[in-house]
Amino acid sequence: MKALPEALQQLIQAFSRLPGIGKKTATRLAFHVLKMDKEQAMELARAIQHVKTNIRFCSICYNITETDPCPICRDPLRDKSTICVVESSEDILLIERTNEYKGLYHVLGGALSPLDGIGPEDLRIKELLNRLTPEVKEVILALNPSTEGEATAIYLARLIKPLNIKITRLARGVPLGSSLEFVDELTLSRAIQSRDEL
Amino acid sequence: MLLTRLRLENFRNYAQLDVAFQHGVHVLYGANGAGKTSVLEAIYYLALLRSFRTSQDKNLVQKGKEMFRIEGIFETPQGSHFKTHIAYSLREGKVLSLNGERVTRFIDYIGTIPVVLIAPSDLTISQSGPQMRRRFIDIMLSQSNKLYLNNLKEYKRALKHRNLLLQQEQPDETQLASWEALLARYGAEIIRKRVETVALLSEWVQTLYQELSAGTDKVKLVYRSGVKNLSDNVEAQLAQLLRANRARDAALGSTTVGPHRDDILFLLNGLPFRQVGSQGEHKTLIIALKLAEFRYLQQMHQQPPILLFDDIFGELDATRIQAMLGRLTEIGQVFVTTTSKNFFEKMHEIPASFHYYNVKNGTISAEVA
Repeated sequence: MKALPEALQQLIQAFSRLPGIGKKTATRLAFHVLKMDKEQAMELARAIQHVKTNIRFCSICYNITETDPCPICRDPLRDKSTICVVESSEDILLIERTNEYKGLYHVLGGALSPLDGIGPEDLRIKELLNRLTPEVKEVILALNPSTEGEATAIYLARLIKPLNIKITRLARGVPLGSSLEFVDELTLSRAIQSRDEL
Repeated sequence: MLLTRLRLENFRNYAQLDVAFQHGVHVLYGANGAGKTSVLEAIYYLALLRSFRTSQDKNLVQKGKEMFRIEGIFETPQGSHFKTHIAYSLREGKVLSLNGERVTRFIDYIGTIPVVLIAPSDLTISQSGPQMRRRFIDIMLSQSNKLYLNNLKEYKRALKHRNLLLQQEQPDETQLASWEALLARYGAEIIRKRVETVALLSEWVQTLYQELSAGTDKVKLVYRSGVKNLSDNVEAQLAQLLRANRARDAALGSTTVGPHRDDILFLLNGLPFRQVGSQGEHKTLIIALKLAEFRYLQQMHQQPPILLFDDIFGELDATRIQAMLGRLTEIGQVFVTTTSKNFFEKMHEIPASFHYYNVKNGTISAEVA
Protein backbone atom coordinates (compact mmCIF):
# COMPACT_ATOMS: atom_id res chain seq x y z
CA MET A 1 0.00 0.00 0.00
CA LYS A 2 2.87 2.37 0.81
CA ALA A 3 3.79 2.63 -2.83
CA LEU A 4 0.42 4.14 -3.77
CA PRO A 5 -0.06 7.92 -3.93
CA GLU A 6 -2.06 9.32 -1.05
CA ALA A 7 -4.97 10.46 -3.25
CA LEU A 8 -5.45 7.01 -4.70
CA GLN A 9 -5.32 5.41 -1.28
CA GLN A 10 -8.07 7.76 -0.15
CA LEU A 11 -10.26 6.79 -3.07
CA ILE A 12 -9.72 3.09 -2.36
CA GLN A 13 -10.74 3.64 1.22
CA ALA A 14 -13.83 5.57 0.18
CA PHE A 15 -14.89 2.76 -2.15
CA SER A 16 -14.29 0.04 0.42
CA ARG A 17 -16.81 1.70 2.72
CA LEU A 18 -19.58 0.91 0.22
CA PRO A 19 -21.72 -2.18 0.87
CA GLY A 20 -20.49 -5.39 -0.69
CA ILE A 21 -17.15 -3.93 -1.70
CA GLY A 22 -13.97 -5.36 -0.24
CA LYS A 23 -10.41 -4.11 -0.46
CA LYS A 24 -9.75 -5.90 -3.76
CA THR A 25 -12.79 -4.55 -5.58
CA ALA A 26 -12.19 -1.08 -4.13
CA THR A 27 -8.67 -1.09 -5.54
CA ARG A 28 -9.90 -2.21 -8.93
CA LEU A 29 -12.57 0.51 -8.99
CA ALA A 30 -10.07 3.19 -7.95
CA PHE A 31 -7.69 2.20 -10.74
CA HIS A 32 -10.60 2.22 -13.12
CA VAL A 33 -11.48 5.78 -12.11
CA LEU A 34 -7.86 6.71 -12.70
CA LYS A 35 -8.07 5.38 -16.25
CA MET A 36 -11.40 7.08 -17.05
CA ASP A 37 -11.32 10.23 -19.10
CA LYS A 38 -11.51 13.38 -17.05
CA GLU A 39 -15.03 14.44 -18.07
CA GLN A 40 -16.51 11.06 -17.12
CA ALA A 41 -14.80 11.06 -13.75
CA MET A 42 -15.98 14.60 -13.03
CA GLU A 43 -19.51 13.60 -13.99
CA LEU A 44 -19.38 10.81 -11.42
CA ALA A 45 -18.13 13.22 -8.76
CA ARG A 46 -20.84 15.74 -9.63
CA ALA A 47 -23.54 13.08 -9.56
CA ILE A 48 -22.52 12.08 -6.05
CA GLN A 49 -22.48 15.72 -4.97
CA HIS A 50 -25.83 16.37 -6.60
CA VAL A 51 -27.46 13.44 -4.84
CA LYS A 52 -26.21 14.62 -1.50
CA THR A 53 -27.18 18.26 -1.90
CA ASN A 54 -30.47 18.00 -3.76
CA ILE A 55 -32.07 14.85 -2.50
CA ARG A 56 -33.66 14.91 0.88
CA PHE A 57 -36.45 13.24 2.74
CA CYS A 58 -40.06 14.29 2.30
CA SER A 59 -41.13 15.87 5.58
CA ILE A 60 -44.42 13.97 5.50
CA CYS A 61 -43.71 10.44 4.32
CA TYR A 62 -39.87 10.36 4.42
CA ASN A 63 -39.59 9.15 0.87
CA ILE A 64 -36.54 10.49 -0.95
CA THR A 65 -37.36 13.54 -3.02
CA GLU A 66 -35.99 16.64 -4.68
CA THR A 67 -39.00 18.72 -3.63
CA ASP A 68 -40.61 18.82 -0.23
CA PRO A 69 -43.31 17.55 0.13
CA CYS A 70 -42.65 14.77 -2.37
CA PRO A 71 -44.71 14.44 -5.58
CA ILE A 72 -46.82 11.62 -4.09
CA CYS A 73 -47.76 13.57 -0.96
CA ARG A 74 -48.59 16.63 -3.09
CA ASP A 75 -50.69 14.77 -5.64
CA PRO A 76 -54.35 15.77 -5.07
CA LEU A 77 -55.54 12.59 -6.80
CA ARG A 78 -53.97 10.23 -4.27
CA ASP A 79 -56.24 8.63 -1.73
CA LYS A 80 -55.41 10.31 1.59
CA SER A 81 -57.34 7.78 3.65
CA THR A 82 -54.82 4.98 3.11
CA ILE A 83 -51.18 4.86 4.20
CA CYS A 84 -48.86 2.06 3.13
CA VAL A 85 -45.95 1.58 5.54
CA VAL A 86 -42.68 0.35 4.03
CA GLU A 87 -39.16 -0.16 5.31
CA SER A 88 -37.31 1.84 2.64
CA SER A 89 -37.83 4.17 -0.31
CA GLU A 90 -36.89 1.39 -2.70
CA ASP A 91 -40.04 -0.45 -1.65
CA ILE A 92 -42.15 2.52 -2.78
CA LEU A 93 -40.59 2.26 -6.20
CA LEU A 94 -41.62 -1.38 -6.43
CA ILE A 95 -45.20 -0.77 -5.33
CA GLU A 96 -45.57 2.28 -7.61
CA ARG A 97 -44.54 0.20 -10.59
CA THR A 98 -47.63 -1.96 -10.09
CA ASN A 99 -49.95 1.02 -10.68
CA GLU A 100 -52.33 -0.71 -8.31
CA TYR A 101 -51.98 1.50 -5.30
CA LYS A 102 -53.32 5.03 -5.16
CA GLY A 103 -52.86 5.89 -1.50
CA LEU A 104 -50.00 7.48 0.43
CA TYR A 105 -46.82 5.99 1.87
CA HIS A 106 -44.75 6.13 4.99
CA VAL A 107 -41.07 5.11 5.05
CA LEU A 108 -39.95 3.71 8.41
CA GLY A 109 -36.28 3.65 7.55
CA GLY A 110 -35.76 0.02 8.59
CA ALA A 111 -37.19 -2.54 11.00
CA LEU A 112 -36.88 -3.17 14.72
CA SER A 113 -33.73 -5.13 15.48
CA PRO A 114 -32.30 -5.21 18.99
CA LEU A 115 -29.40 -7.26 17.58
CA ASP A 116 -28.42 -4.28 15.43
CA GLY A 117 -29.31 -1.75 18.10
CA ILE A 118 -32.34 -0.47 16.16
CA GLY A 119 -35.22 0.50 18.42
CA PRO A 120 -38.52 2.34 17.82
CA GLU A 121 -36.81 5.71 18.31
CA ASP A 122 -34.49 4.96 15.38
CA LEU A 123 -37.45 4.44 13.05
CA ARG A 124 -40.02 7.01 11.96
CA ILE A 125 -42.77 5.56 14.09
CA LYS A 126 -43.72 8.68 16.04
CA GLU A 127 -43.97 10.48 12.72
CA LEU A 128 -46.31 7.78 11.45
CA LEU A 129 -48.56 8.02 14.50
CA ASN A 130 -48.71 11.79 14.09
CA ARG A 131 -50.09 11.29 10.61
CA LEU A 132 -52.97 9.10 11.76
CA THR A 133 -55.69 11.74 11.76
CA PRO A 134 -59.40 10.74 11.56
CA GLU A 135 -59.07 11.11 7.80
CA VAL A 136 -56.95 7.93 7.70
CA LYS A 137 -59.08 4.79 7.44
CA GLU A 138 -56.54 2.09 6.65
CA VAL A 139 -52.88 1.38 7.30
CA ILE A 140 -51.24 -1.25 5.09
CA LEU A 141 -48.14 -2.87 6.57
CA ALA A 142 -45.89 -3.77 3.63
CA LEU A 143 -42.79 -4.78 5.60
CA ASN A 144 -40.29 -7.43 4.58
CA PRO A 145 -41.25 -11.01 5.50
CA SER A 146 -38.17 -11.31 7.74
CA THR A 147 -38.17 -11.95 11.49
CA GLU A 148 -37.50 -8.25 12.05
CA GLY A 149 -40.16 -7.13 9.59
CA GLU A 150 -42.73 -9.40 11.27
CA ALA A 151 -41.90 -8.12 14.75
CA THR A 152 -42.15 -4.53 13.51
CA ALA A 153 -45.53 -5.24 11.96
CA ILE A 154 -46.80 -6.69 15.25
CA TYR A 155 -45.39 -3.66 17.08
CA LEU A 156 -47.09 -1.16 14.76
CA ALA A 157 -50.36 -3.07 14.89
CA ARG A 158 -50.30 -2.86 18.68
CA LEU A 159 -49.78 0.89 18.56
CA ILE A 160 -52.37 1.56 15.88
CA LYS A 161 -55.13 -0.80 17.04
CA PRO A 162 -56.43 1.53 19.84
CA LEU A 163 -57.00 4.22 17.20
CA ASN A 164 -59.67 2.10 15.51
CA ILE A 165 -58.02 2.20 12.13
CA LYS A 166 -58.15 -0.83 9.83
CA ILE A 167 -54.75 -2.54 9.70
CA THR A 168 -53.89 -4.87 6.82
CA ARG A 169 -50.78 -6.51 5.53
CA LEU A 170 -49.58 -7.95 2.26
CA ALA A 171 -50.85 -11.41 1.42
CA ARG A 172 -48.29 -14.17 1.11
CA GLY A 173 -48.67 -16.79 -1.49
CA VAL A 174 -47.63 -18.40 -4.70
CA PRO A 175 -46.24 -16.22 -7.48
CA LEU A 176 -48.46 -15.74 -10.49
CA GLY A 177 -47.73 -16.98 -13.94
CA SER A 178 -45.77 -20.05 -12.92
CA SER A 179 -47.06 -23.51 -12.26
CA LEU A 180 -47.02 -24.87 -8.73
CA GLU A 181 -44.15 -27.20 -9.50
CA PHE A 182 -41.77 -24.26 -9.69
CA VAL A 183 -42.79 -22.72 -6.39
CA ASP A 184 -40.30 -23.41 -3.62
CA GLU A 185 -41.53 -25.67 -0.85
CA LEU A 186 -41.35 -23.03 1.85
CA THR A 187 -43.47 -20.50 -0.02
CA LEU A 188 -45.93 -23.23 -0.90
CA SER A 189 -46.21 -24.40 2.73
CA ARG A 190 -46.85 -20.84 3.84
CA ALA A 191 -49.42 -20.36 1.11
CA ILE A 192 -51.27 -23.50 2.21
CA GLN A 193 -51.32 -22.19 5.76
CA SER A 194 -52.71 -18.80 4.76
CA ARG A 195 -55.15 -20.10 2.14
CA ASP A 196 -58.33 -18.14 1.27
CA GLU A 197 -61.89 -19.31 1.27
CA LEU A 198 -63.65 -19.13 -2.07
CA MET B 1 -30.60 -41.64 -2.56
CA LEU B 2 -27.20 -43.01 -3.46
CA LEU B 3 -23.91 -41.21 -3.08
CA THR B 4 -22.03 -42.51 -6.08
CA ARG B 5 -18.96 -40.35 -5.80
CA LEU B 6 -17.30 -38.24 -3.13
CA ARG B 7 -14.54 -35.75 -3.71
CA LEU B 8 -12.73 -33.86 -0.98
CA GLU B 9 -10.11 -31.17 -1.00
CA ASN B 10 -8.30 -29.91 2.10
CA PHE B 11 -11.02 -31.42 4.25
CA ARG B 12 -9.74 -32.56 7.67
CA ASN B 13 -6.75 -34.80 6.93
CA TYR B 14 -7.63 -35.29 3.25
CA ALA B 15 -5.60 -33.14 0.88
CA GLN B 16 -7.37 -34.79 -2.07
CA LEU B 17 -9.84 -37.61 -2.19
CA ASP B 18 -11.87 -39.06 -5.00
CA VAL B 19 -13.77 -42.21 -4.17
CA ALA B 20 -16.71 -44.09 -5.71
CA PHE B 21 -19.47 -45.78 -3.73
CA GLN B 22 -22.37 -48.01 -4.64
CA HIS B 23 -25.43 -49.67 -3.23
CA GLY B 24 -25.06 -51.53 0.07
CA VAL B 25 -22.90 -51.46 3.18
CA HIS B 26 -19.57 -49.66 3.02
CA VAL B 27 -17.17 -50.66 5.76
CA LEU B 28 -14.40 -48.12 6.29
CA TYR B 29 -11.73 -49.68 8.46
CA GLY B 30 -8.42 -48.41 9.71
CA ALA B 31 -6.52 -47.20 12.77
CA ASN B 32 -7.68 -44.37 14.99
CA GLY B 33 -7.02 -40.97 13.45
CA ALA B 34 -6.73 -42.39 9.94
CA GLY B 35 -9.67 -40.31 8.67
CA LYS B 36 -12.62 -42.70 8.78
CA THR B 37 -15.02 -40.44 10.63
CA SER B 38 -14.05 -37.51 8.39
CA VAL B 39 -15.63 -39.35 5.46
CA LEU B 40 -18.92 -39.71 7.35
CA GLU B 41 -18.59 -36.09 8.41
CA ALA B 42 -18.29 -35.02 4.77
CA ILE B 43 -21.35 -37.06 3.76
CA TYR B 44 -23.32 -35.61 6.67
CA TYR B 45 -22.17 -32.14 5.66
CA LEU B 46 -23.43 -32.68 2.12
CA ALA B 47 -26.86 -33.43 3.59
CA LEU B 48 -27.17 -30.92 6.40
CA LEU B 49 -24.50 -28.30 5.58
CA ARG B 50 -22.97 -28.71 8.99
CA SER B 51 -20.74 -31.10 10.84
CA PHE B 52 -21.78 -33.37 13.69
CA ARG B 53 -18.39 -33.03 15.34
CA THR B 54 -17.93 -29.27 15.45
CA SER B 55 -20.13 -26.22 15.17
CA GLN B 56 -17.32 -24.26 13.57
CA ASP B 57 -16.64 -24.86 9.91
CA LYS B 58 -13.12 -23.53 10.18
CA ASN B 59 -12.17 -26.61 12.18
CA LEU B 60 -12.83 -28.71 9.07
CA VAL B 61 -10.16 -26.97 7.01
CA GLN B 62 -6.93 -28.93 6.74
CA LYS B 63 -4.16 -27.43 8.83
CA GLY B 64 -2.37 -24.56 7.09
CA LYS B 65 -4.96 -24.31 4.30
CA GLU B 66 -7.49 -21.54 3.64
CA MET B 67 -10.44 -23.49 2.33
CA PHE B 68 -12.03 -26.89 1.82
CA ARG B 69 -14.31 -28.38 -0.81
CA ILE B 70 -16.76 -31.27 -0.64
CA GLU B 71 -18.40 -32.56 -3.76
CA GLY B 72 -20.91 -35.36 -3.95
CA ILE B 73 -22.59 -36.93 -6.94
CA PHE B 74 -25.93 -38.46 -6.05
CA GLU B 75 -28.31 -40.78 -7.82
CA THR B 76 -32.01 -40.42 -7.12
CA PRO B 77 -34.35 -43.44 -6.90
CA GLN B 78 -35.63 -42.41 -10.35
CA GLY B 79 -32.12 -42.81 -11.71
CA SER B 80 -31.20 -39.20 -12.40
CA HIS B 81 -28.00 -37.65 -11.08
CA PHE B 82 -27.18 -34.38 -9.40
CA LYS B 83 -24.06 -32.80 -8.01
CA THR B 84 -23.75 -30.96 -4.72
CA HIS B 85 -20.70 -28.80 -4.29
CA ILE B 86 -19.69 -26.99 -1.12
CA ALA B 87 -16.74 -24.63 -0.98
CA TYR B 88 -15.85 -23.14 2.35
CA SER B 89 -13.16 -20.52 2.79
CA LEU B 90 -12.05 -18.82 5.98
CA ARG B 91 -12.69 -15.45 4.40
CA GLU B 92 -15.95 -15.97 2.58
CA GLY B 93 -17.72 -18.74 4.47
CA LYS B 94 -19.55 -21.49 2.64
CA VAL B 95 -20.90 -21.43 -0.85
CA LEU B 96 -23.32 -24.16 -1.89
CA SER B 97 -24.10 -25.08 -5.43
CA LEU B 98 -26.40 -27.66 -6.93
CA ASN B 99 -25.48 -28.79 -10.45
CA GLY B 100 -23.26 -25.75 -10.77
CA GLU B 101 -25.93 -23.27 -9.74
CA ARG B 102 -25.49 -21.37 -6.54
CA VAL B 103 -28.06 -21.97 -3.80
CA THR B 104 -28.27 -18.96 -1.51
CA ARG B 105 -31.11 -20.04 0.76
CA PHE B 106 -29.94 -23.22 2.51
CA ILE B 107 -33.50 -24.07 3.58
CA ASP B 108 -34.29 -24.82 -0.05
CA TYR B 109 -31.59 -27.48 -0.11
CA ILE B 110 -31.62 -29.15 3.31
CA GLY B 111 -33.64 -32.37 3.17
CA THR B 112 -32.61 -33.19 -0.39
CA ILE B 113 -30.41 -35.97 0.94
CA PRO B 114 -32.05 -37.71 3.90
CA VAL B 115 -29.50 -39.05 6.36
CA VAL B 116 -29.50 -40.84 9.71
CA LEU B 117 -26.38 -40.80 11.85
CA ILE B 118 -25.52 -42.99 14.79
CA ALA B 119 -22.46 -41.73 16.60
CA PRO B 120 -21.05 -42.53 20.05
CA SER B 121 -22.64 -39.37 21.42
CA ASP B 122 -26.09 -40.73 20.54
CA LEU B 123 -25.64 -43.49 23.08
CA THR B 124 -26.21 -40.98 25.83
CA ILE B 125 -29.36 -39.52 24.30
CA SER B 126 -31.61 -41.15 26.91
CA GLN B 127 -29.25 -40.36 29.77
CA SER B 128 -27.85 -36.86 29.15
CA GLY B 129 -29.49 -33.44 29.25
CA PRO B 130 -32.50 -32.41 27.15
CA GLN B 131 -30.38 -30.61 24.53
CA MET B 132 -29.43 -33.88 22.81
CA ARG B 133 -33.07 -34.96 22.59
CA ARG B 134 -34.20 -31.62 21.14
CA ARG B 135 -31.39 -31.86 18.65
CA PHE B 136 -32.52 -35.33 17.64
CA ILE B 137 -36.09 -34.26 16.87
CA ASP B 138 -34.98 -30.97 15.26
CA ILE B 139 -32.56 -32.64 12.87
CA MET B 140 -35.12 -35.25 11.88
CA LEU B 141 -37.89 -32.73 11.27
CA SER B 142 -35.57 -30.26 9.54
CA GLN B 143 -34.88 -32.94 6.96
CA SER B 144 -38.52 -33.55 6.24
CA ASN B 145 -40.36 -30.27 6.77
CA LYS B 146 -39.25 -26.91 5.34
CA LEU B 147 -41.75 -24.97 7.36
CA TYR B 148 -40.41 -26.52 10.56
CA LEU B 149 -36.84 -25.68 9.61
CA ASN B 150 -37.86 -22.12 8.80
CA ASN B 151 -39.86 -21.73 12.01
CA LEU B 152 -36.88 -22.98 13.96
CA LYS B 153 -34.56 -20.51 12.28
CA GLU B 154 -36.91 -17.56 12.79
CA TYR B 155 -37.62 -18.62 16.36
CA LYS B 156 -33.93 -18.70 17.26
CA ARG B 157 -33.42 -15.30 15.73
CA ALA B 158 -36.39 -13.75 17.57
CA LEU B 159 -35.06 -15.32 20.77
CA LYS B 160 -31.76 -13.48 20.38
CA HIS B 161 -33.61 -10.22 19.85
CA ARG B 162 -35.72 -10.69 22.97
CA ASN B 163 -32.75 -11.65 25.14
CA LEU B 164 -30.88 -8.58 24.02
CA LEU B 165 -33.88 -6.35 24.53
CA LEU B 166 -34.24 -7.66 28.09
CA GLN B 167 -30.70 -6.48 28.77
CA GLN B 168 -31.67 -2.87 28.14
CA GLU B 169 -32.28 -0.78 31.22
CA GLN B 170 -35.85 0.22 30.45
CA PRO B 171 -36.99 -1.99 27.60
CA ASP B 172 -39.98 -0.68 25.67
CA GLU B 173 -42.92 -2.81 26.85
CA THR B 174 -44.73 -2.79 23.54
CA GLN B 175 -41.62 -3.84 21.70
CA LEU B 176 -40.99 -6.64 24.17
CA ALA B 177 -44.57 -7.81 23.74
CA SER B 178 -44.14 -7.76 19.95
CA TRP B 179 -41.07 -10.01 20.01
CA GLU B 180 -42.87 -12.27 22.46
CA ALA B 181 -45.89 -12.47 20.17
CA LEU B 182 -43.57 -13.53 17.36
CA LEU B 183 -41.78 -16.07 19.59
CA ALA B 184 -45.16 -17.45 20.67
CA ARG B 185 -46.30 -17.79 17.06
CA TYR B 186 -43.20 -19.65 15.84
CA GLY B 187 -42.81 -21.47 19.16
CA ALA B 188 -46.35 -22.83 19.06
CA GLU B 189 -45.80 -24.11 15.50
CA ILE B 190 -42.60 -25.87 16.58
CA ILE B 191 -44.24 -27.40 19.65
CA ARG B 192 -47.28 -28.54 17.67
CA LYS B 193 -45.12 -30.38 15.15
CA ARG B 194 -42.93 -31.91 17.85
CA VAL B 195 -45.91 -33.15 19.90
CA GLU B 196 -47.46 -34.75 16.84
CA THR B 197 -44.17 -36.38 15.81
CA VAL B 198 -43.21 -37.61 19.28
CA ALA B 199 -46.60 -39.33 19.59
CA LEU B 200 -45.95 -41.15 16.32
CA LEU B 201 -42.36 -42.07 17.25
CA SER B 202 -43.56 -43.29 20.64
CA GLU B 203 -45.75 -45.93 19.04
CA TRP B 204 -43.03 -47.06 16.69
CA VAL B 205 -40.34 -47.16 19.38
CA GLN B 206 -42.64 -49.16 21.65
CA THR B 207 -43.13 -51.87 19.04
CA LEU B 208 -39.52 -51.86 17.89
CA TYR B 209 -38.23 -52.07 21.46
CA GLN B 210 -40.38 -55.11 22.21
CA GLU B 211 -39.25 -56.80 19.01
CA LEU B 212 -35.58 -56.07 19.66
CA SER B 213 -35.66 -57.17 23.29
CA ALA B 214 -38.12 -60.00 22.67
CA GLY B 215 -39.93 -58.83 25.79
CA THR B 216 -43.05 -57.05 26.90
CA ASP B 217 -41.61 -53.90 28.46
CA LYS B 218 -43.53 -50.75 27.61
CA VAL B 219 -41.49 -47.86 26.29
CA LYS B 220 -43.07 -44.47 25.85
CA LEU B 221 -41.92 -41.08 24.59
CA VAL B 222 -43.64 -38.04 26.03
CA TYR B 223 -43.16 -34.46 24.95
CA ARG B 224 -42.58 -32.33 28.02
CA SER B 225 -43.08 -28.60 27.63
CA GLY B 226 -43.01 -25.50 29.79
CA VAL B 227 -46.44 -24.90 28.28
CA LYS B 228 -48.79 -26.79 30.58
CA ASN B 229 -51.79 -27.60 28.46
CA LEU B 230 -50.61 -28.78 25.06
CA SER B 231 -54.10 -29.50 23.80
CA ASP B 232 -55.22 -25.93 24.40
CA ASN B 233 -54.09 -22.68 22.70
CA VAL B 234 -50.30 -23.07 22.92
CA GLU B 235 -49.56 -19.71 21.32
CA ALA B 236 -51.57 -17.78 23.90
CA GLN B 237 -50.10 -19.75 26.80
CA LEU B 238 -46.58 -19.23 25.53
CA ALA B 239 -47.10 -15.48 25.11
CA GLN B 240 -48.50 -15.31 28.62
CA LEU B 241 -45.57 -17.27 30.10
CA LEU B 242 -43.04 -15.09 28.31
CA ARG B 243 -44.68 -12.01 29.74
CA ALA B 244 -44.79 -13.47 33.24
CA ASN B 245 -41.11 -14.50 33.10
CA ARG B 246 -39.71 -11.15 32.01
CA ALA B 247 -38.08 -10.20 35.31
CA ARG B 248 -36.51 -13.61 35.84
CA ASP B 249 -35.38 -13.86 32.22
CA ALA B 250 -33.84 -10.38 32.40
CA ALA B 251 -31.88 -11.37 35.50
CA LEU B 252 -30.67 -14.59 33.85
CA GLY B 253 -30.03 -12.97 30.49
CA SER B 254 -31.91 -15.73 28.69
CA THR B 255 -35.44 -16.88 27.90
CA THR B 256 -36.50 -19.70 30.20
CA VAL B 257 -39.64 -20.94 28.49
CA GLY B 258 -40.32 -22.13 24.96
CA PRO B 259 -39.49 -25.06 22.68
CA HIS B 260 -35.77 -24.37 23.13
CA ARG B 261 -36.18 -25.49 26.76
CA ASP B 262 -38.59 -28.39 26.25
CA ASP B 263 -37.69 -32.05 26.56
CA ILE B 264 -38.70 -35.50 25.44
CA LEU B 265 -39.15 -37.97 28.29
CA PHE B 266 -38.34 -41.63 27.78
CA LEU B 267 -40.35 -43.93 30.00
CA LEU B 268 -39.82 -47.62 30.73
CA ASN B 269 -42.98 -49.16 32.16
CA GLY B 270 -44.08 -45.70 33.25
CA LEU B 271 -40.82 -44.79 35.01
CA PRO B 272 -38.07 -42.48 33.75
CA PHE B 273 -35.72 -44.51 31.57
CA ARG B 274 -32.80 -42.50 32.87
CA GLN B 275 -33.40 -43.87 36.37
CA VAL B 276 -34.52 -47.43 35.77
CA GLY B 277 -32.90 -48.43 32.48
CA SER B 278 -29.86 -50.75 32.53
CA GLN B 279 -26.96 -50.09 30.16
CA GLY B 280 -28.24 -52.83 27.89
CA GLU B 281 -31.75 -51.38 27.87
CA HIS B 282 -30.44 -47.94 27.01
CA LYS B 283 -28.61 -49.41 24.03
CA THR B 284 -31.72 -51.24 22.83
CA LEU B 285 -33.66 -47.99 23.19
CA ILE B 286 -31.18 -46.10 21.00
CA ILE B 287 -31.42 -48.72 18.30
CA ALA B 288 -35.23 -48.57 18.44
CA LEU B 289 -35.15 -44.77 18.31
CA LYS B 290 -32.76 -44.65 15.36
CA LEU B 291 -34.81 -47.25 13.52
CA ALA B 292 -37.87 -45.07 14.08
CA GLU B 293 -35.96 -42.05 12.72
CA PHE B 294 -34.95 -44.09 9.70
CA ARG B 295 -38.53 -45.20 9.10
CA TYR B 296 -39.87 -41.67 9.51
CA LEU B 297 -37.48 -40.21 6.94
CA GLN B 298 -38.03 -43.17 4.66
CA GLN B 299 -41.78 -42.52 4.68
CA MET B 300 -41.42 -38.77 4.20
CA HIS B 301 -38.96 -39.10 1.33
CA GLN B 302 -40.24 -42.37 -0.07
CA GLN B 303 -36.73 -43.75 -0.15
CA PRO B 304 -34.34 -45.08 2.48
CA PRO B 305 -32.07 -42.42 4.02
CA ILE B 306 -28.32 -42.85 3.92
CA LEU B 307 -27.30 -44.51 7.16
CA LEU B 308 -24.07 -43.51 8.88
CA PHE B 309 -22.60 -45.56 11.74
CA ASP B 310 -19.70 -43.82 13.34
CA ASP B 311 -17.51 -46.19 15.31
CA ILE B 312 -20.09 -47.39 17.79
CA PHE B 313 -19.07 -51.01 17.77
CA GLY B 314 -17.21 -50.74 21.02
CA GLU B 315 -20.49 -49.79 22.66
CA LEU B 316 -22.95 -51.81 20.62
CA ASP B 317 -22.37 -55.48 20.11
CA ALA B 318 -22.66 -57.29 16.82
CA THR B 319 -26.02 -58.84 17.72
CA ARG B 320 -27.67 -55.43 18.17
CA ILE B 321 -26.24 -54.01 14.98
CA GLN B 322 -27.24 -57.04 13.05
CA ALA B 323 -30.73 -56.82 14.56
CA MET B 324 -30.93 -53.21 13.49
CA LEU B 325 -29.76 -53.72 9.92
CA GLY B 326 -31.97 -56.78 9.65
CA ARG B 327 -35.01 -54.75 10.57
CA LEU B 328 -34.68 -52.14 7.84
CA THR B 329 -37.31 -52.75 5.22
CA GLU B 330 -34.94 -51.54 2.56
CA ILE B 331 -31.23 -50.90 2.78
CA GLY B 332 -30.13 -48.12 0.50
CA GLN B 333 -26.66 -47.08 1.41
CA VAL B 334 -24.88 -47.61 4.70
CA PHE B 335 -21.49 -46.31 5.79
CA VAL B 336 -19.78 -47.67 8.85
CA THR B 337 -16.44 -46.84 10.39
CA THR B 338 -14.64 -49.38 12.52
CA THR B 339 -11.19 -50.28 13.75
CA SER B 340 -11.90 -53.99 13.41
CA LYS B 341 -12.92 -55.18 10.03
CA ASN B 342 -13.66 -58.74 11.07
CA PHE B 343 -16.55 -57.43 13.16
CA PHE B 344 -18.53 -57.29 9.94
CA GLU B 345 -17.37 -60.42 8.33
CA LYS B 346 -19.76 -62.34 10.56
CA MET B 347 -22.67 -60.26 9.42
CA HIS B 348 -23.39 -61.66 6.05
CA GLU B 349 -26.89 -62.75 6.82
CA ILE B 350 -27.86 -59.16 6.10
CA PRO B 351 -29.36 -59.01 2.60
CA ALA B 352 -27.01 -56.34 1.27
CA SER B 353 -23.70 -56.27 -0.53
CA PHE B 354 -20.66 -55.37 1.58
CA HIS B 355 -17.79 -53.23 0.33
CA TYR B 356 -14.55 -52.80 2.24
CA TYR B 357 -12.34 -49.73 2.23
CA ASN B 358 -8.99 -49.44 3.97
CA VAL B 359 -8.43 -45.95 5.37
CA LYS B 360 -4.84 -44.89 6.05
CA ASN B 361 -3.52 -41.37 6.68
CA GLY B 362 -5.89 -39.53 4.43
CA THR B 363 -6.08 -42.12 1.65
CA ILE B 364 -8.75 -44.68 0.94
CA SER B 365 -8.35 -47.86 -1.00
CA ALA B 366 -11.23 -50.00 -2.01
CA GLU B 367 -10.71 -53.70 -1.47
CA VAL B 368 -11.33 -55.83 -4.50
CA ALA B 369 -13.75 -58.58 -3.57
